[in-house]
Parts: sequence; C-alpha cells; structure tokens
Amino acid sequence: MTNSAQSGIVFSSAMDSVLTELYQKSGAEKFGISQREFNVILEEIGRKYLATNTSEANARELYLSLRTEELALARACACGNENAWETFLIRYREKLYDIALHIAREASAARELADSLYADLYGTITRDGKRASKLASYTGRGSLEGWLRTVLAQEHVNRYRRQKRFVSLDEESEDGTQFAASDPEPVCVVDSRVENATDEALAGLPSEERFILASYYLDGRTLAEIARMLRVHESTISRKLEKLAKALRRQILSGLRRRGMTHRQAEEALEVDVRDLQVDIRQRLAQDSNSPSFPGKKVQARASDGPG
Amino acid sequence: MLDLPKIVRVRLNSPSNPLGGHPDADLLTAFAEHSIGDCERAQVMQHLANCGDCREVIRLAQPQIENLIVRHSSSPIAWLSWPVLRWGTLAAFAVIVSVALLTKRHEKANLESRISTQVARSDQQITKLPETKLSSTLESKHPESKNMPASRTAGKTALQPSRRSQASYGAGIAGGVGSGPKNKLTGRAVFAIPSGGKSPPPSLFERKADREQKQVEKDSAPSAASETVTVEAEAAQITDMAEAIPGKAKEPQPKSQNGTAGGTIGGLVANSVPHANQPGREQMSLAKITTIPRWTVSSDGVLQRSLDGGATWETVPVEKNVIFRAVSVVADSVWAGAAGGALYHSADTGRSWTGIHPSAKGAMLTGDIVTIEFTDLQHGHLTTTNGETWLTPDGGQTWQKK
Repeated sequence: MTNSAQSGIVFSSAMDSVLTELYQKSGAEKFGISQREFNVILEEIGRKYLATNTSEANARELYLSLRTEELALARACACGNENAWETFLIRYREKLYDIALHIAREASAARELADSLYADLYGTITRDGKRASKLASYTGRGSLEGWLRTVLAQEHVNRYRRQKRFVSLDEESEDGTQFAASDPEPVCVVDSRVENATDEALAGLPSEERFILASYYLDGRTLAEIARMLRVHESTISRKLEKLAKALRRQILSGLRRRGMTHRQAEEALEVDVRDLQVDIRQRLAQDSNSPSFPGKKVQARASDGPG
Repeated sequence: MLDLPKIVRVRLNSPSNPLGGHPDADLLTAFAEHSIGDCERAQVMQHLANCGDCREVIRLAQPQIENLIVRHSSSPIAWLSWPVLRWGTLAAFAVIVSVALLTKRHEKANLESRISTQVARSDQQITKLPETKLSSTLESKHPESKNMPASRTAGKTALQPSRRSQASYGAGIAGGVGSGPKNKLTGRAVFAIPSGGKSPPPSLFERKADREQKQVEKDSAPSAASETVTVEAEAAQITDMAEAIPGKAKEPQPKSQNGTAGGTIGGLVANSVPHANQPGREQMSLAKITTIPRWTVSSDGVLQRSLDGGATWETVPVEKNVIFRAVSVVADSVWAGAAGGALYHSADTGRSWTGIHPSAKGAMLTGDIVTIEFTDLQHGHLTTTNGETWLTPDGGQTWQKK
C-alpha cells in the first residue's frame, strides 16, 4: 500500500498495480525515468487535479485518462534526456512551425513565435540553478501536440496584448488614433431597470449558451468556428443562436414589464443605444471577483500559463 | 441571424476579465479535445463564457481544417467506414421490406379477386331454366363430361370462350370453373338451381338465346329436364359448353391453355381471375367468403351487389336510365358495362363511380357492352354487340380497339 503523503490519497495495492501498468505502458524507462520518479509525477498531477479527500476510484479514473506515453516524453525532455529530445524534435519540430504559422498567419511572426516557445520548452530560465522547462508543466490531460498548440496560442494572445498595451506614439500617429476625436461623454440617463433585466436574463443562461452567444456576438466567430470548438454541427449552433436571441429578448421584455414598464416602453428601452447606458464598472468588477476561481480547489492560474 | 439588442452585448461583455484565474494549457487542451469529465468541462465552459482571451486561445488551438480534411480524405476505404455501412445496411433493409410488402399486397389483391370471383360463381342461384339438353350434347361430344350430372342453360347469343376464366351466365346457367382441361376436379363449383326462384323472367335477349339454344338441341341428344340441378363440372367441360352454344355448327375448339371457362348469357355476368392448379381454393371458409361483396347484373339491366353472400341483393345506383350488361370485379375495382357503350368504373367497391369513355384513333365505343374481363387492376378488355373488342393495359387510361 502506497501512502501519498502530500496528496493525502492512500493507494491500495490495486492502485499500485495500475501505476505499474501505466509506467510500463508509458515507455518512461527508455528515457531514464524510474518507476518511483514516474509515480512522483503522477502524484503531482493528482495533487493538482484531485480534491484532498478524493476517492481512489476518482484517482484511478484520472490516471487512466492521462496520456502517459507523451507525459513520459515531455517530462524526460524537461529533465534534459537526449533521447527524449531527439524523439520530441522528430515528432514535433515541423508541426510546431506549422502550428505557429497557422496561428500567426505570417511567416516571420510564426518563426519568432515558434522559436520563443522552443526556448521556453528547452528552459532558458533557471530556478535554483536548474533549467525550468515549460514541458515540466505538461500533465498529459490532453495530447502533447494539442498542448503545444494551446501554449502557442496563449503565447500569441499574450504578445498581442502586450503589443496593444505598448503601442508607440509613432504607430498611433500612423494609425491616426492619436488625433482621433475623443468619445463623447456618456449620457447617463438610462433606466437601470434595463440593465437589471438584462443581467437577470443573462444570469439564467447555461454557461454553454453564454459561450455561444459571446463567441458569435462578441468575438465575431463564425457558426462553423463555434461548431468546431463544441464539436457539433453548424446547423445546431445556428438553431441555438436563433432560439437564444429570441428567448433573451422575450425574457428581458418580461423582466422590464415586471419592473413596471408597459410593453411598448420595454420595447423602446431595449432599443436604446448602448452609448446611453450607464455601466457601473465598480459593480461589474465586484461581481467578477465573486466568480469562482479556476479550476476547482487546486488549479490556480499561473502567470506563465494564463493568456492574460 | 437574429440581431441581439445592444444592451445584451454590453452586459454580456462586462465580466470579460474574470479574476478567478485562467485554466492552464492542459485543461484547455483537454477541453478542446473533449477528454475531460463533465464536471471539469462545465468549469472550463463557465470560464470560457466569461473570458474572451481563453475563447480566443481555444479557437487558435483548434487543429487546422486542412489537416482534418487530409486526414479524412486519406482514408483508403472511406466508403467502408461505419457510418456508410450503417446507413447502407439500413437502406438495403428498407428496400427489402418494401419489396416484401409490395409482393404480399399484390398476392393479397390477387387472392381477393379470386375469392370474389369464386363467390360470384359458387353460390349463383339460378331459377327457371328453360329445358336444355346441353349436358347430353356435351356428353356426346366429350366423354369426360360424364362427370357432370346435369347442366342447364338459358339461351345465349354469344358465349365467348376465353383464355382467362370467364363464366357468364344468363337468366339461368350452371357452370363451374376448373383448373385445367386435363386436371382433376379442382375447380369444382356447385350451383343450385331452384325452380321458381327470385330470378327475373328471361328478357328478350334471353329469349333470343333460347331460340339458339333450341337450335343446338336439334343436333344433340335429349337430356333430362329437371327444375333444379346441381352442377359439378370441370373447367374443361364448362369451356366446351361455352363453346358449344355460340358455335352452333362449329366443331368444338381446343380447350384454352389456362383451362378456364368463359361465357356470357343474358344480363348476368360474373368474371373471374384464372387460377391454375390451386387445390386449396375450395377450402376457403364460407364465413370469409361471405364478407366479400358479390356483384351481378339483373336481367333487366340493374347493377346489384350482395354483402351477405348472395342472400339479399341491393341495387347499386350508378346513373339513371342505364341498362347494364356486364360487370367485372378485381379486388376493390369494379367495372360495369352498359348499353350504348356506357362504361363505369369504381375503385372503392362501388362507393363512387366514374364514367369511362374509351376511344382509340378517333373511334368511340358505341356498341352495347356485353362482356367485361379484367385480369388484374390494369389489364382488361370488353366486347360489344357489334363485335368490337376494346383492350386497356393501364386500368382504363388508354384503350385499343380490335
């Protein structure tokens, strides 16, 4: 029986056999990772994704869902194993540049993005005298290729945010934004009942429907893109959007009538230009702070992982 | 796509900077690849609903479409994939079931038409037959007709032998349908001919037939004249009988290939679809038979129908002042022919009628229809008093004149 002191999970002998089986299946041995080291990696992943007093069944389910072969490769690379790096480069070198080109859509930017990630994967930053490889954060929840794609996408979004934040005056001058007329002072005359009714209707939406709404109306994603992200048919998204838009409008009108408006007043209020609306930033920020941290108890966003 | 009110967009965009932290690359990858549990997926989805940056990451991290297309198209036997096989199997099964149902329905229609014809024949009650010595005539010409105990017939102007079974009877004819001239008595039919029955008196047409009958009798041996006879005859005998009457001086013709009998006498007509070698036919239960409508034309030209196995007959109103001469039934399809070339068709067992006006190459059907024979729902022919034969291959849509 194995006692995982840090995670608090007590593994039975059956679980030990599962870990042994996973180790053999992963091929970690050929990259110089021992069974003990492999178990430590799995326990670390367990601590990250499992609750403190989770059952052994949940732990077993998590471990069996891991991509252990790719996990062993990534962790061996992070440890500087040459065989592992050779395998990694054979498998992912070309793919990494292709993915970067797909994301950046421009050759030089793609090359720069891929090189930057290579540096992170190799580990240019040292911690306690050791190179800290980004591959050490790979946990095998998804495929290694998918993880590389996600990491590249995060890096691309981060760069975009940084570039937007540090736009030079010359660039602003070229864009004409420096001399753009300032926005007129918002006229704060809108009835707060409209905002409340809207928030109420939005709060009642399931997260997936809100995701679809935001992707389509805020991000400007196409139906096909949303369908790909959710792995459903395009027509399904189309029907859902149509239904959602109608339902939202109906619910908001109903909320406005409950707040004392006539049907006509509610219709007119819903068509008010957004520039006339008073947006209480402080209230919104307060609401945001109440949103649940992610994911669950354990997964706190790390600055290096998050896009923001 | 329906537009969203601007206020909704604004409020939807408000919590775009969640402070709870972003999911790591592993979870986003697992989400994109649908390899996480429902609980974690719900958490990621909740974050994505509020975080534009992570939605953008998920979008960018999607595999390239070209790769997916290449991966799909590179499959060497894509047509053998499970969805194709599944739908293919389903389609094949549907076709098989459809064919089976159609075949069964066709067989059922044939069976019903056979039953209706058998009913029309088996329980014909014919009364007051003029004396006839036809049976002895037939016996003298055909030794095998000895099996027929007696037969009586009223006069008839033209009995037309048919390759298909058609036994038409005037105001009193006994007959039967056999399965073939050389067959044993498989098409046995029993006709009771009570004296003083309900049949109407012979019409002028029938009296003319009587005279011809007497002409036949001159050349034949005398036979017993009974008021009521039961006829049990082979089809060959009936065929010969039918041929003997109109043939007058003719020699008996070879028996029809199908071994069926045909004939028309007076205003009473019954048609049947032939059956060769169906030994189980006469075993039909009477209860089943009596549920099928029977059709007849009375001697005074009225179309009649019986719904109780021939016990009572009701007049079927088709059109006023029409003198019917012949009727033919195939399943629910009823054809009734009348004087002056009037032809009517009902596809619903006589509930509604449609007048048919056959024409071919500019010629119209004008003669009195004396026989109608439909072998199935589509194919049929009729004959007129002026010797014309009209055929239809498509249920009366088009006609050919012979």
